[in-house]
Amino acid sequence: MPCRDATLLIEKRLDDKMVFYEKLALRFHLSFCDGCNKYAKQSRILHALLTKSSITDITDFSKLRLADDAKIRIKQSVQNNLDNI
Amino acid sequence: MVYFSTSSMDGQQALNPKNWVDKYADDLFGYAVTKCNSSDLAEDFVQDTFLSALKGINNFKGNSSERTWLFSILKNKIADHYRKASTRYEVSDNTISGGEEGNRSFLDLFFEDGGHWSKQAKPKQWSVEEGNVLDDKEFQAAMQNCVGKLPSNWHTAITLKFLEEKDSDDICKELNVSSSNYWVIMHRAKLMLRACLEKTWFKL
Repeated sequence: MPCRDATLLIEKRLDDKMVFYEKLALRFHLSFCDGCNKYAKQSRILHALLTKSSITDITDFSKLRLADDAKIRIKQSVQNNLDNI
Repeated sequence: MVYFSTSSMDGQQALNPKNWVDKYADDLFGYAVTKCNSSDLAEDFVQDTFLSALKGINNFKGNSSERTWLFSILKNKIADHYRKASTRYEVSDNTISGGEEGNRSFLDLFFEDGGHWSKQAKPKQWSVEEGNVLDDKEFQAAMQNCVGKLPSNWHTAITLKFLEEKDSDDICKELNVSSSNYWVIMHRAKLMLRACLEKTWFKL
């Protein structure tokens, strides 16, 4: 199996979607391929990062601020809707 | 007339819409910007979130905090946006891979004829450890930047997967792609993400 296919299986493995023969083939490939072993390790890092970056309650966005005029506008529209309830 | 309490009742969380903009607008905005890479769009998401929250104010059960509740509304808004965008792109076998020819030429950037790593694309050691990099805000930002550079339909697939923590089978249904095509998308998106990070962050 070439690295081209092994790296696709590595992505599948991260989601636990490999079938039996794919598991065998990947295990064999990784037993000798240095490039794909590095790829697997790095891909797992990317996967974890992507998962982490979408966790709901991220508290540290200290650098990003909504512009003041937008805040005033949004406040106004919240107030208007509040009045109409 | 709906009654909004400004203090907790019976240990339950209460809502206080008058303070929403001051308390949450920056955080919601920051989150939205990293998801859509556009501050105009993010601004719209924030406003929509507050207005939807007002409309659905009776659905708030007080089980979660006001903040968590608003974030979940925002997440749904962003996911809806990507869903709609994905139907506009008409994700099909051809647009994903550009046909067999497009398929080959993309992969040729990384692999030689026999399918093994080309010399320049073969993964090199990253100068980071998994534990450290996960908490590195600058690395996170670099990665978000690279995600933003992905072609739109790959971007959609990645966003849906990680934003909603969806199973790949559900995303296939939603984007109307076969499972094998889905893996082709993920595989390429990851190859491109890696390449982008190696160039912009690791300077390899």
